Amino acid sequence: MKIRTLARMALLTAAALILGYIDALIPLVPSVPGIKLGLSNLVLLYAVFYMRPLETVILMLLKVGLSSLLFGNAIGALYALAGGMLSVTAMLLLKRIPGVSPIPVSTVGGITHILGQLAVGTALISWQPVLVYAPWLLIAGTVTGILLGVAAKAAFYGIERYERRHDA
Amino acid sequence: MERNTAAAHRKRNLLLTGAAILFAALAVVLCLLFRPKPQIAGSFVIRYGDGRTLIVPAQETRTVVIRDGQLADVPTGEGDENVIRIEHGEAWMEQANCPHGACMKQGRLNPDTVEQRPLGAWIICAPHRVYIELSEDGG
Repeated sequence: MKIRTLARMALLTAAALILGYIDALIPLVPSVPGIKLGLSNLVLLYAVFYMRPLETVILMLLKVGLSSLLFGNAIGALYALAGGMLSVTAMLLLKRIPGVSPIPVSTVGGITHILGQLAVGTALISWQPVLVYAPWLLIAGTVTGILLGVAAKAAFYGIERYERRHDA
Repeated sequence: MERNTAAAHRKRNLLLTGAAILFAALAVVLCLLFRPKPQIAGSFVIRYGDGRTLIVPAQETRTVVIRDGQLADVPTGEGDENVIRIEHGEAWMEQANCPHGACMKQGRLNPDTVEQRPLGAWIICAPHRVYIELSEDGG
């Protein structure tokens, strides 16, 4: 791995951890645990579009591992890992479609992240509370996925314009 | 030529986003259709650990302490701990040291609040794998 890639991954991991911490401070629906803005997924979305698939997966594993170590517990890590693996795989597959924008990629990422977590919930607890939970999480995952996609699209436009100006 | 490609990409992105939203909407409808129906309170079923169950009649007054997936006598705040209170036919999560404490914000569970509660007849502490269900037949 090149030093430049290594430095970029370290920076992105730090950004994901900080955004994850900010995320935990903003409870969207306090009575329904697990509903978050998912700000740290912006970092993964950046990796999906500008880095190699393997680097994106490593970044997701670093984000899940370190944030669980700092702010969560082992069970929380299982939920995050299942959601992260499923959403990163889905986003990387979708990114292969020519001309795809961050909005559908992020929306699919948000939904699949929730599906991964619901699968772990079914395995660890039982399907009944998961069914009660699922509608709230699916709605939140879709809405936050769209919002993050819109934010990412604007951010990527700015990044690309900046890079073009400095390359010229 | 370039304009046509951009228009095709825009259409494709709209279709993909629409399909994702439709999929999520269908999943939500299916979950709502098969959602467990709330019951009249007969007892509270507390599930914890690896499939352990404790049934507490709704009329009982009792504090249940669960630590690291096992019943405990008194709360100590150590390990993965949840303190559940059952009183006057309702149950609530009195204390929990899970990462965000969301289960404590889920409010009181009784037959009158079931319809209004986002999680219906359940109080769920996902990080500690502890959940309480309002049940008619005692689980």
